[in-house]
Amino acid sequence: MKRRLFVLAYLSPAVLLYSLFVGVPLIQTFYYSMFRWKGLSKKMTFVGSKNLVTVAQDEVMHKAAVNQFLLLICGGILLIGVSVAIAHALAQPTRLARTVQTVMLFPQVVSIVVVGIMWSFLFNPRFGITQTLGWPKLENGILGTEGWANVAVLLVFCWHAVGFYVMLFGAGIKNIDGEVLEAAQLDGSGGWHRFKNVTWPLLWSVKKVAVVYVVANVMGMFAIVKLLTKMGPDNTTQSILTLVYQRGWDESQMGQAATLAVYGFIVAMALGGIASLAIGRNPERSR
Amino acid sequence: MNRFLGWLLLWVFLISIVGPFAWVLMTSFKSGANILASPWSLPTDLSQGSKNFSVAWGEGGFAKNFVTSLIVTIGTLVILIPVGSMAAYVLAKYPFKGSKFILGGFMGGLMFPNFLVIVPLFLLVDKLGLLNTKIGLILVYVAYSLAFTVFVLHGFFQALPGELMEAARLDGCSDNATFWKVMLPLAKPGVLVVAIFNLIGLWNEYPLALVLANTPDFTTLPVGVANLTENQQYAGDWGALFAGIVIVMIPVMVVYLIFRDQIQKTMLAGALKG
Repeated sequence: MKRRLFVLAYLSPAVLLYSLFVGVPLIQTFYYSMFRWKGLSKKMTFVGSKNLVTVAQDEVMHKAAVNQFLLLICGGILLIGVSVAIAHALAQPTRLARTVQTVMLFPQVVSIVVVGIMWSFLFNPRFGITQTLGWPKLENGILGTEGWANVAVLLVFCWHAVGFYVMLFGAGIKNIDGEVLEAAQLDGSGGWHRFKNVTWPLLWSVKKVAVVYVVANVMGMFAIVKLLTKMGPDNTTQSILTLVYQRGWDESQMGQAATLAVYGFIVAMALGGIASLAIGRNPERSR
Repeated sequence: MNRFLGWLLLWVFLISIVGPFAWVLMTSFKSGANILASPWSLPTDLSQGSKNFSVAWGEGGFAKNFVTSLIVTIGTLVILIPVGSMAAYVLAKYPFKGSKFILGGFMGGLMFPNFLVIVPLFLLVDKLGLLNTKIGLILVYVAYSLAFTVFVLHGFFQALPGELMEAARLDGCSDNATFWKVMLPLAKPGVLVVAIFNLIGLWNEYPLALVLANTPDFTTLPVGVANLTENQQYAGDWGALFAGIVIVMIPVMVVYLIFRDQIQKTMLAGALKG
Protein backbone atom coordinates (compact mmCIF):
# COMPACT_ATOMS: atom_id res chain seq x y z
CA MET A 1 0.00 0.00 0.00
CA LYS A 2 2.73 2.38 1.04
CA ARG A 3 4.67 1.40 -2.05
CA ARG A 4 1.67 2.12 -4.24
CA LEU A 5 1.27 5.54 -2.71
CA PHE A 6 4.94 6.25 -3.30
CA VAL A 7 4.75 5.26 -6.96
CA LEU A 8 1.62 7.33 -7.43
CA ALA A 9 3.14 10.38 -5.77
CA TYR A 10 6.31 10.18 -7.85
CA LEU A 11 4.58 9.60 -11.17
CA SER A 12 1.58 11.86 -11.03
CA PRO A 13 3.21 15.30 -11.48
CA ALA A 14 4.92 14.20 -14.69
CA VAL A 15 1.96 12.24 -16.01
CA LEU A 16 -0.51 15.04 -15.24
CA LEU A 17 1.59 17.77 -16.87
CA TYR A 18 2.36 15.61 -19.87
CA SER A 19 -1.28 14.55 -20.37
CA LEU A 20 -2.61 18.07 -19.95
CA PHE A 21 -0.21 19.84 -22.30
CA VAL A 22 0.83 17.09 -24.73
CA GLY A 23 -1.67 14.21 -24.66
CA VAL A 24 -4.93 16.13 -24.60
CA PRO A 25 -3.94 18.69 -27.30
CA LEU A 26 -2.77 15.81 -29.47
CA ILE A 27 -6.26 14.27 -29.44
CA GLN A 28 -7.98 17.66 -29.61
CA THR A 29 -6.16 18.45 -32.84
CA PHE A 30 -8.28 15.83 -34.57
CA TYR A 31 -11.45 17.16 -32.93
CA TYR A 32 -10.76 20.81 -33.80
CA SER A 33 -10.05 19.89 -37.40
CA MET A 34 -13.81 19.36 -37.78
CA PHE A 35 -14.73 22.97 -37.03
CA ARG A 36 -14.53 26.33 -38.70
CA TRP A 37 -13.74 29.32 -36.54
CA LYS A 38 -11.70 32.48 -36.46
CA GLY A 39 -8.84 33.02 -34.04
CA LEU A 40 -9.97 33.35 -30.46
CA SER A 41 -13.64 33.84 -31.22
CA LYS A 42 -15.99 31.60 -29.27
CA LYS A 43 -18.14 30.78 -32.28
CA MET A 44 -17.13 27.44 -33.72
CA THR A 45 -19.13 25.95 -36.57
CA PHE A 46 -19.11 22.20 -37.02
CA VAL A 47 -18.16 21.39 -40.61
CA GLY A 48 -17.29 17.71 -40.32
CA SER A 49 -14.83 16.49 -42.89
CA LYS A 50 -15.10 19.64 -44.99
CA ASN A 51 -11.75 20.99 -43.79
CA LEU A 52 -10.07 17.76 -44.79
CA VAL A 53 -11.31 18.26 -48.35
CA THR A 54 -10.54 21.99 -48.45
CA VAL A 55 -6.98 21.46 -47.26
CA ALA A 56 -6.45 18.49 -49.57
CA GLN A 57 -7.39 20.72 -52.51
CA ASP A 58 -5.36 23.70 -51.29
CA GLU A 59 -2.66 24.55 -53.82
CA VAL A 60 -0.33 25.97 -51.19
CA MET A 61 -0.65 22.74 -49.26
CA HIS A 62 0.37 20.88 -52.41
CA LYS A 63 3.44 23.09 -52.70
CA ALA A 64 4.29 22.43 -49.06
CA ALA A 65 3.88 18.68 -49.49
CA VAL A 66 6.05 18.61 -52.61
CA ASN A 67 8.71 20.72 -50.87
CA GLN A 68 8.84 18.41 -47.88
CA PHE A 69 9.09 15.41 -50.13
CA LEU A 70 11.89 16.89 -52.23
CA LEU A 71 13.70 18.07 -49.10
CA LEU A 72 13.42 14.59 -47.67
CA ILE A 73 14.96 12.98 -50.75
CA CYS A 74 17.58 15.61 -51.66
CA GLY A 75 18.35 16.53 -48.07
CA GLY A 76 18.58 12.89 -47.06
CA ILE A 77 20.97 11.96 -49.87
CA LEU A 78 23.10 15.08 -49.46
CA LEU A 79 23.28 14.84 -45.67
CA ILE A 80 24.09 11.14 -45.56
CA GLY A 81 26.56 11.32 -48.46
CA VAL A 82 28.45 14.31 -47.11
CA SER A 83 28.50 13.10 -43.54
CA VAL A 84 29.75 9.62 -44.45
CA ALA A 85 32.60 11.21 -46.41
CA ILE A 86 33.49 13.58 -43.58
CA ALA A 87 33.22 10.84 -40.98
CA HIS A 88 35.74 8.84 -43.03
CA ALA A 89 38.11 11.77 -43.26
CA LEU A 90 37.81 12.25 -39.49
CA ALA A 91 38.90 8.69 -38.73
CA GLN A 92 42.58 9.70 -38.49
CA PRO A 93 43.11 11.50 -35.19
CA THR A 94 44.87 14.63 -36.45
CA ARG A 95 44.63 18.10 -34.92
CA LEU A 96 42.48 19.25 -37.81
CA ALA A 97 40.11 16.36 -37.15
CA ARG A 98 39.82 17.27 -33.49
CA THR A 99 39.09 20.90 -34.34
CA VAL A 100 36.40 19.85 -36.79
CA GLN A 101 34.84 17.56 -34.19
CA THR A 102 34.70 20.45 -31.73
CA VAL A 103 32.98 22.95 -33.98
CA MET A 104 30.82 20.74 -36.17
CA LEU A 105 27.88 20.84 -33.77
CA PHE A 106 27.88 24.65 -33.49
CA PRO A 107 25.14 25.06 -36.13
CA GLN A 108 23.00 22.66 -34.14
CA VAL A 109 23.51 24.06 -30.64
CA VAL A 110 22.89 27.70 -31.49
CA SER A 111 19.27 28.69 -31.88
CA ILE A 112 17.82 27.87 -35.27
CA VAL A 113 16.69 31.49 -35.29
CA VAL A 114 20.35 32.50 -35.43
CA VAL A 115 20.91 30.09 -38.32
CA GLY A 116 17.97 31.43 -40.29
CA ILE A 117 18.83 35.10 -39.83
CA MET A 118 22.54 34.60 -40.41
CA TRP A 119 21.97 32.93 -43.77
CA SER A 120 19.29 35.39 -44.82
CA PHE A 121 22.03 38.02 -44.60
CA LEU A 122 24.68 35.86 -46.26
CA PHE A 123 22.27 35.40 -49.18
CA ASN A 124 21.27 39.06 -49.20
CA PRO A 125 21.10 40.19 -52.87
CA ARG A 126 22.71 43.57 -52.13
CA PHE A 127 25.87 42.50 -50.38
CA GLY A 128 25.73 38.75 -49.77
CA ILE A 129 27.82 35.88 -51.11
CA THR A 130 26.16 35.83 -54.52
CA GLN A 131 26.72 39.57 -55.00
CA THR A 132 30.42 39.14 -54.26
CA LEU A 133 30.83 36.04 -56.40
CA GLY A 134 28.80 37.54 -59.23
CA TRP A 135 27.03 34.22 -59.58
CA PRO A 136 24.24 33.31 -59.94
CA LYS A 137 23.07 36.57 -61.51
CA LEU A 138 19.49 36.92 -60.31
CA GLU A 139 17.50 40.11 -60.12
CA ASN A 140 15.90 39.25 -56.77
CA GLY A 141 18.75 37.24 -55.35
CA ILE A 142 18.77 33.58 -54.44
CA LEU A 143 16.09 33.93 -51.78
CA GLY A 144 13.72 35.82 -54.05
CA THR A 145 13.87 33.53 -57.07
CA GLU A 146 11.72 30.44 -57.45
CA GLY A 147 13.75 27.28 -57.46
CA TRP A 148 16.89 28.97 -56.20
CA ALA A 149 15.13 29.72 -52.93
CA ASN A 150 14.48 26.01 -52.50
CA VAL A 151 18.15 25.31 -53.10
CA ALA A 152 19.02 27.84 -50.41
CA VAL A 153 16.63 26.17 -47.94
CA LEU A 154 18.15 22.78 -48.76
CA LEU A 155 21.70 24.03 -48.23
CA VAL A 156 20.96 25.82 -44.96
CA PHE A 157 18.99 22.82 -43.71
CA CYS A 158 21.95 20.52 -44.40
CA TRP A 159 24.44 23.02 -42.95
CA HIS A 160 22.41 23.14 -39.77
CA ALA A 161 22.01 19.38 -39.37
CA VAL A 162 25.20 17.86 -40.80
CA GLY A 163 27.27 17.77 -37.60
CA PHE A 164 24.94 15.32 -35.93
CA TYR A 165 25.09 12.92 -38.87
CA VAL A 166 28.88 13.12 -39.04
CA MET A 167 28.95 12.15 -35.38
CA LEU A 168 26.50 9.32 -35.99
CA PHE A 169 28.41 7.82 -38.92
CA GLY A 170 31.70 8.39 -37.11
CA ALA A 171 30.43 6.17 -34.30
CA GLY A 172 29.18 3.64 -36.84
CA ILE A 173 32.52 3.45 -38.63
CA LYS A 174 34.36 3.10 -35.33
CA ASN A 175 32.14 0.17 -34.38
CA ILE A 176 33.04 -1.83 -37.46
CA ASP A 177 35.32 -4.67 -36.57
CA GLY A 178 38.85 -3.75 -37.73
CA GLU A 179 39.53 -7.39 -38.60
CA VAL A 180 36.70 -7.42 -41.13
CA LEU A 181 38.22 -4.44 -42.91
CA GLU A 182 41.67 -6.01 -42.80
CA ALA A 183 40.37 -9.28 -44.19
CA ALA A 184 38.74 -7.38 -47.03
CA GLN A 185 42.02 -5.59 -47.69
CA LEU A 186 43.87 -8.92 -47.81
CA ASP A 187 41.31 -10.23 -50.27
CA GLY A 188 42.26 -7.36 -52.55
CA SER A 189 39.31 -5.13 -51.77
CA GLY A 190 40.33 -1.55 -51.08
CA GLY A 191 39.23 2.02 -51.48
CA TRP A 192 35.85 2.53 -53.06
CA HIS A 193 35.31 -1.19 -53.65
CA ARG A 194 35.80 -1.98 -49.99
CA PHE A 195 33.59 0.90 -48.92
CA LYS A 196 30.78 -0.17 -51.23
CA ASN A 197 30.89 -3.86 -50.39
CA VAL A 198 31.98 -3.95 -46.77
CA THR A 199 31.77 -0.66 -44.88
CA TRP A 200 28.50 0.66 -46.31
CA PRO A 201 26.46 -2.53 -45.71
CA LEU A 202 27.88 -2.83 -42.20
CA LEU A 203 26.61 0.66 -41.35
CA TRP A 204 23.03 -0.63 -41.56
CA SER A 205 21.98 0.18 -38.01
CA VAL A 206 23.38 3.72 -38.16
CA LYS A 207 21.79 4.29 -41.55
CA LYS A 208 18.45 3.33 -40.07
CA VAL A 209 18.83 5.86 -37.27
CA ALA A 210 19.98 8.50 -39.78
CA VAL A 211 16.93 8.05 -41.97
CA VAL A 212 14.55 8.25 -39.02
CA TYR A 213 16.27 11.48 -37.93
CA VAL A 214 16.14 12.95 -41.44
CA VAL A 215 12.40 12.33 -41.51
CA ALA A 216 12.02 13.99 -38.10
CA ASN A 217 14.19 16.96 -39.11
CA VAL A 218 12.35 17.52 -42.38
CA MET A 219 8.91 17.21 -40.79
CA GLY A 220 9.98 19.67 -38.10
CA MET A 221 11.02 22.26 -40.68
CA PHE A 222 9.80 25.63 -39.46
CA ALA A 223 12.22 28.35 -38.40
CA ILE A 224 14.59 28.06 -41.38
CA VAL A 225 11.76 28.57 -43.85
CA LYS A 226 10.08 31.27 -41.81
CA LEU A 227 13.21 33.34 -41.32
CA LEU A 228 15.26 32.59 -44.44
CA THR A 229 12.74 32.79 -47.27
CA LYS A 230 9.55 33.79 -45.39
CA MET A 231 7.95 30.87 -47.25
CA GLY A 232 8.40 32.80 -50.49
CA PRO A 233 8.70 33.69 -53.23
CA ASP A 234 5.00 33.02 -53.83
CA ASN A 235 4.80 30.18 -51.26
CA THR A 236 7.32 28.11 -53.20
CA THR A 237 9.36 27.23 -50.08
CA GLN A 238 6.33 26.62 -47.86
CA SER A 239 6.50 23.74 -45.36
CA ILE A 240 3.69 22.05 -43.47
CA LEU A 241 4.48 23.64 -40.11
CA THR A 242 4.92 27.14 -41.53
CA LEU A 243 1.60 26.72 -43.31
CA VAL A 244 -0.03 25.67 -40.01
CA TYR A 245 1.26 28.92 -38.50
CA GLN A 246 0.28 31.03 -41.50
CA ARG A 247 -3.27 29.69 -41.69
CA GLY A 248 -3.81 29.79 -37.95
CA TRP A 249 -2.09 33.01 -36.90
CA ASP A 250 -1.67 35.20 -39.97
CA GLU A 251 -5.05 34.33 -41.49
CA SER A 252 -7.00 33.24 -38.37
CA GLN A 253 -8.21 29.99 -39.93
CA MET A 254 -7.72 27.83 -36.84
CA GLY A 255 -9.83 24.92 -38.09
CA GLN A 256 -7.75 24.68 -41.24
CA ALA A 257 -4.55 24.95 -39.24
CA ALA A 258 -5.67 21.99 -37.12
CA THR A 259 -6.58 20.05 -40.26
CA LEU A 260 -3.14 20.68 -41.71
CA ALA A 261 -1.67 19.37 -38.47
CA VAL A 262 -3.77 16.21 -38.81
CA TYR A 263 -2.25 15.63 -42.24
CA GLY A 264 1.14 16.37 -40.72
CA PHE A 265 0.63 13.67 -38.08
CA ILE A 266 -0.43 11.09 -40.60
CA VAL A 267 2.53 11.83 -42.86
CA ALA A 268 5.01 11.91 -39.96
CA MET A 269 3.82 8.58 -38.61
CA ALA A 270 3.66 6.94 -42.04
CA LEU A 271 7.11 8.18 -43.09
CA GLY A 272 8.64 7.24 -39.75
CA GLY A 273 7.19 3.75 -40.05
CA ILE A 274 8.22 3.27 -43.68
CA ALA A 275 11.71 4.61 -43.02
CA SER A 276 12.43 2.27 -40.15
CA LEU A 277 10.99 -0.73 -42.00
CA ALA A 278 12.53 -0.16 -45.43
CA ILE A 279 16.08 0.65 -44.42
CA GLY A 280 18.59 -1.18 -42.40
CA ARG A 281 18.15 -4.89 -42.19
CA ASN A 282 21.14 -6.53 -40.65
CA PRO A 283 23.04 -7.80 -43.70
CA GLU A 284 24.76 -10.43 -41.61
CA ARG A 285 21.47 -11.90 -40.58
CA SER A 286 19.89 -12.09 -44.01
CA ARG A 287 22.59 -14.33 -45.41
CA MET B 1 40.08 7.64 -48.70
CA ASN B 2 42.84 9.47 -50.45
CA ARG B 3 44.70 11.38 -47.77
CA PHE B 4 44.88 14.69 -49.60
CA LEU B 5 41.20 14.61 -50.54
CA GLY B 6 40.29 13.90 -46.93
CA TRP B 7 42.40 16.79 -45.73
CA LEU B 8 40.87 19.12 -48.30
CA LEU B 9 37.36 18.00 -47.39
CA LEU B 10 37.94 18.69 -43.70
CA TRP B 11 39.28 22.17 -44.40
CA VAL B 12 36.33 23.04 -46.63
CA PHE B 13 33.97 21.72 -43.98
CA LEU B 14 35.72 23.56 -41.16
CA ILE B 15 35.64 26.88 -43.02
CA SER B 16 32.01 26.46 -44.03
CA ILE B 17 31.03 25.87 -40.40
CA VAL B 18 33.21 28.48 -38.69
CA GLY B 19 33.09 31.11 -41.45
CA PRO B 20 29.48 32.22 -41.03
CA PHE B 21 29.83 32.47 -37.24
CA ALA B 22 33.06 34.43 -37.53
CA TRP B 23 31.37 36.73 -40.04
CA VAL B 24 28.45 37.40 -37.67
CA LEU B 25 30.84 38.14 -34.82
CA MET B 26 32.91 40.46 -37.02
CA THR B 27 29.86 42.21 -38.43
CA SER B 28 28.50 42.93 -34.96
CA PHE B 29 31.39 45.42 -34.63
CA LYS B 30 30.47 47.35 -37.77
CA SER B 31 27.97 50.06 -38.64
CA GLY B 32 25.04 49.46 -40.98
CA ALA B 33 26.60 51.56 -43.75
CA ASN B 34 29.92 49.80 -43.38
CA ILE B 35 28.24 46.36 -43.61
CA LEU B 36 26.57 47.35 -46.87
CA ALA B 37 29.68 48.94 -48.37
CA SER B 38 32.25 46.30 -47.50
CA PRO B 39 30.55 43.23 -46.03
CA TRP B 40 33.68 41.09 -45.82
CA SER B 41 36.22 43.56 -44.45
CA LEU B 42 37.41 43.50 -40.85
CA PRO B 43 35.88 46.09 -38.54
CA THR B 44 38.03 49.23 -38.39
CA ASP B 45 36.39 51.13 -35.58
CA LEU B 46 35.95 48.91 -32.53
CA SER B 47 33.99 51.55 -30.62
CA GLN B 48 31.17 50.88 -33.11
CA GLY B 49 30.96 47.46 -31.46
CA SER B 50 30.17 48.80 -28.03
CA LYS B 51 27.63 51.14 -29.64
CA ASN B 52 25.94 48.20 -31.40
CA PHE B 53 25.82 46.13 -28.25
CA SER B 54 24.44 48.94 -26.10
CA VAL B 55 21.74 49.72 -28.69
CA ALA B 56 20.78 46.05 -28.90
CA TRP B 57 20.84 45.65 -25.14
CA GLY B 58 18.75 48.79 -24.54
CA GLU B 59 16.49 49.94 -27.39
CA GLY B 60 16.56 46.54 -29.07
CA GLY B 61 14.96 45.09 -25.94
CA PHE B 62 17.59 42.42 -25.53
CA ALA B 63 18.16 43.14 -21.83
CA LYS B 64 14.48 42.55 -21.12
CA ASN B 65 14.29 39.48 -23.33
CA PHE B 66 17.51 38.13 -21.87
CA VAL B 67 16.01 38.25 -18.38
CA THR B 68 12.78 36.63 -19.59
CA SER B 69 14.69 33.85 -21.33
CA LEU B 70 16.84 33.30 -18.27
CA ILE B 71 13.87 33.11 -15.87
CA VAL B 72 11.89 30.83 -18.19
CA THR B 73 14.85 28.52 -18.82
CA ILE B 74 15.89 28.24 -15.17
CA GLY B 75 12.27 28.05 -14.00
CA THR B 76 11.59 25.19 -16.39
CA LEU B 77 14.67 23.28 -15.25
CA VAL B 78 13.82 23.74 -11.57
CA ILE B 79 10.46 22.02 -12.12
CA LEU B 80 11.49 19.65 -14.89
CA ILE B 81 14.48 17.98 -13.27
CA PRO B 82 12.79 16.75 -10.04
CA VAL B 83 9.49 15.92 -11.76
CA GLY B 84 11.23 14.13 -14.63
CA SER B 85 13.73 12.20 -12.52
CA MET B 86 11.08 11.08 -10.02
CA ALA B 87 8.96 9.69 -12.83
CA ALA B 88 11.93 8.09 -14.58
CA TYR B 89 13.08 6.51 -11.31
CA VAL B 90 9.72 4.94 -10.53
CA LEU B 91 9.32 3.69 -14.10
CA ALA B 92 12.78 2.12 -14.00
CA LYS B 93 12.83 0.68 -10.49
CA TYR B 94 9.21 0.09 -9.45
CA PRO B 95 7.73 -1.70 -12.45
CA PHE B 96 3.98 -2.27 -12.26
CA LYS B 97 1.18 -3.19 -14.61
CA GLY B 98 1.04 -0.30 -17.05
CA SER B 99 4.46 1.19 -16.37
CA LYS B 100 5.65 0.14 -19.82
CA PHE B 101 2.61 1.82 -21.29
CA ILE B 102 3.37 5.08 -19.48
CA LEU B 103 7.00 5.00 -20.60
CA GLY B 104 5.78 4.37 -24.15
CA GLY B 105 3.49 7.37 -23.85
CA PHE B 106 6.43 9.59 -22.95
CA MET B 107 8.56 8.21 -25.76
CA GLY B 108 5.73 8.70 -28.24
CA GLY B 109 6.22 12.41 -27.68
CA LEU B 110 9.66 12.15 -29.29
CA MET B 111 8.19 10.90 -32.54
CA PHE B 112 6.33 13.91 -33.91
CA PRO B 113 7.11 17.64 -34.17
CA ASN B 114 5.63 19.45 -31.14
CA PHE B 115 4.33 22.27 -33.23
CA LEU B 116 1.65 20.04 -34.77
CA VAL B 117 -0.46 20.33 -31.60
CA ILE B 118 -0.17 24.11 -31.51
CA VAL B 119 -3.85 24.94 -32.19
CA PRO B 120 -5.35 23.15 -29.17
CA LEU B 121 -2.30 24.01 -27.06
CA PHE B 122 -2.77 27.69 -27.80
CA LEU B 123 -6.47 27.52 -26.90
CA LEU B 124 -5.70 25.60 -23.70
CA VAL B 125 -3.06 28.05 -22.52
CA ASP B 126 -5.42 30.91 -23.35
CA LYS B 127 -8.29 29.27 -21.43
CA LEU B 128 -6.04 28.88 -18.41
CA GLY B 129 -5.26 32.59 -18.64
CA LEU B 130 -1.57 31.83 -19.11
CA LEU B 131 -1.01 33.26 -22.58
CA ASN B 132 1.98 35.64 -22.61
CA THR B 133 3.01 34.78 -19.06
CA LYS B 134 6.25 33.28 -17.81
CA ILE B 135 4.50 30.58 -15.82
CA GLY B 136 2.46 29.52 -18.85
CA LEU B 137 5.54 29.14 -20.98
CA ILE B 138 7.36 27.34 -18.16
CA LEU B 139 4.57 24.76 -17.70
CA VAL B 140 4.40 24.09 -21.44
CA TYR B 141 8.18 23.78 -21.66
CA VAL B 142 8.26 21.34 -18.72
CA ALA B 143 5.60 19.19 -20.40
CA TYR B 144 7.37 19.20 -23.77
CA SER B 145 10.78 18.47 -22.25
CA LEU B 146 9.51 15.51 -20.22
CA ALA B 147 9.62 13.02 -23.09
CA PHE B 148 13.37 13.37 -23.63
CA THR B 149 14.14 13.82 -19.93
CA VAL B 150 12.25 10.73 -18.79
CA PHE B 151 13.64 8.69 -21.69
CA VAL B 152 17.29 9.45 -20.90
CA LEU B 153 17.01 9.32 -17.10
CA HIS B 154 15.07 6.06 -17.26
CA GLY B 155 18.15 4.55 -18.88
CA PHE B 156 20.42 5.95 -16.18
CA PHE B 157 18.30 4.68 -13.29
CA GLN B 158 17.88 1.29 -14.88
CA ALA B 159 21.65 0.90 -15.02
CA LEU B 160 21.99 1.48 -11.26
CA PRO B 161 22.12 -1.82 -9.31
CA GLY B 162 19.01 -2.68 -7.29
CA GLU B 163 21.13 -3.93 -4.38
CA LEU B 164 21.84 -0.32 -3.45
CA MET B 165 18.14 0.27 -2.86
CA GLU B 166 17.99 -2.92 -0.81
CA ALA B 167 20.94 -1.82 1.31
CA ALA B 168 19.39 1.60 1.90
CA ARG B 169 16.13 -0.02 2.93
CA LEU B 170 17.90 -2.28 5.42
CA ASP B 171 19.53 0.82 6.86
CA GLY B 172 16.05 2.12 7.55
CA CYS B 173 15.61 4.50 4.62
CA SER B 174 12.09 5.04 3.35
CA ASP B 175 11.42 4.80 -0.40
CA ASN B 176 11.48 8.56 -0.53
CA ALA B 177 14.77 8.92 1.36
CA THR B 178 16.35 6.18 -0.75
CA PHE B 179 15.63 8.21 -3.86
CA TRP B 180 16.89 11.57 -2.62
CA LYS B 181 19.84 10.35 -0.55
CA VAL B 182 21.11 7.34 -2.49
CA MET B 183 19.79 6.95 -6.03
CA LEU B 184 19.55 10.54 -7.24
CA PRO B 185 23.13 11.39 -6.18
CA LEU B 186 24.33 8.27 -8.03
CA ALA B 187 22.51 9.35 -11.17
CA LYS B 188 24.05 12.83 -10.99
CA PRO B 189 26.11 12.57 -14.20
CA GLY B 190 22.95 11.67 -16.10
CA VAL B 191 20.93 14.41 -14.46
CA LEU B 192 23.63 16.95 -15.29
CA VAL B 193 23.72 15.98 -18.95
CA VAL B 194 19.94 16.07 -19.23
CA ALA B 195 19.89 19.47 -17.55
CA ILE B 196 22.49 20.87 -19.98
CA PHE B 197 20.66 19.45 -22.96
CA ASN B 198 17.40 20.98 -21.85
CA LEU B 199 19.15 24.23 -20.97
CA ILE B 200 20.39 24.62 -24.54
CA GLY B 201 17.12 23.53 -26.10
CA LEU B 202 15.00 25.81 -23.91
CA TRP B 203 17.24 28.83 -24.38
CA ASN B 204 16.94 28.39 -28.15
CA GLU B 205 13.27 27.43 -28.37
CA TYR B 206 11.39 29.39 -31.03
CA PRO B 207 8.05 28.06 -32.39
CA LEU B 208 6.20 27.56 -29.08
CA ALA B 209 7.37 30.90 -27.69
CA LEU B 210 6.40 32.59 -30.96
CA VAL B 211 2.79 31.57 -30.39
CA LEU B 212 2.52 31.45 -26.60
CA ALA B 213 4.68 34.36 -25.44
CA ASN B 214 4.88 37.10 -28.01
CA THR B 215 3.90 40.65 -27.19
CA PRO B 216 6.00 43.78 -27.80
CA ASP B 217 6.75 43.97 -24.07
CA PHE B 218 7.20 40.32 -23.29
CA THR B 219 8.99 37.66 -25.24
CA THR B 220 12.06 35.44 -25.23
CA LEU B 221 15.41 36.16 -26.87
CA PRO B 222 14.97 34.00 -30.02
CA VAL B 223 11.52 35.43 -30.73
CA GLY B 224 12.77 38.93 -29.97
CA VAL B 225 15.67 38.71 -32.40
CA ALA B 226 13.46 37.14 -35.07
CA ASN B 227 10.87 39.92 -34.68
CA LEU B 228 13.61 42.52 -34.94
CA THR B 229 14.82 41.12 -38.27
CA GLU B 230 11.33 40.84 -39.66
CA ASN B 231 10.56 44.45 -38.77
CA GLN B 232 13.88 45.97 -39.65
CA GLN B 233 15.12 43.92 -42.54
CA TYR B 234 15.69 46.86 -44.85
CA ALA B 235 15.45 49.86 -42.58
CA GLY B 236 16.91 49.34 -39.17
CA ASP B 237 20.25 49.25 -37.54
CA TRP B 238 22.00 46.14 -38.83
CA GLY B 239 25.00 46.53 -36.57
CA ALA B 240 22.77 46.32 -33.51
CA LEU B 241 20.89 43.38 -35.00
CA PHE B 242 24.13 41.44 -35.43
CA ALA B 243 25.09 42.33 -31.88
CA GLY B 244 21.73 40.87 -30.85
CA ILE B 245 22.45 37.64 -32.72
CA VAL B 246 25.76 37.39 -30.89
CA ILE B 247 23.98 37.86 -27.55
CA VAL B 248 21.69 34.93 -28.39
CA MET B 249 24.40 32.56 -29.60
CA ILE B 250 27.37 33.14 -27.31
CA PRO B 251 25.93 31.68 -24.06
CA VAL B 252 25.04 28.33 -25.67
CA MET B 253 28.38 28.13 -27.46
CA VAL B 254 30.18 28.57 -24.14
CA VAL B 255 28.01 25.96 -22.39
CA TYR B 256 28.52 23.60 -25.32
CA LEU B 257 32.31 24.00 -25.30
CA ILE B 258 32.46 23.28 -21.56
CA PHE B 259 30.33 20.13 -21.75
CA ARG B 260 31.18 19.02 -25.29
CA ASP B 261 32.13 15.42 -24.50
CA GLN B 262 29.08 14.65 -22.38
CA ILE B 263 26.77 16.32 -24.89
CA GLN B 264 28.13 14.38 -27.87
CA LYS B 265 28.06 11.11 -25.94
CA THR B 266 24.46 11.59 -24.85
CA MET B 267 23.32 12.60 -28.32
CA LEU B 268 24.84 9.43 -29.72
CA ALA B 269 23.58 7.17 -26.97
CA GLY B 270 20.07 8.59 -27.30
CA ALA B 271 20.09 8.16 -31.07
CA LEU B 272 21.53 4.67 -31.14
CA LYS B 273 19.29 3.37 -28.38
CA GLY B 274 16.04 4.79 -29.74
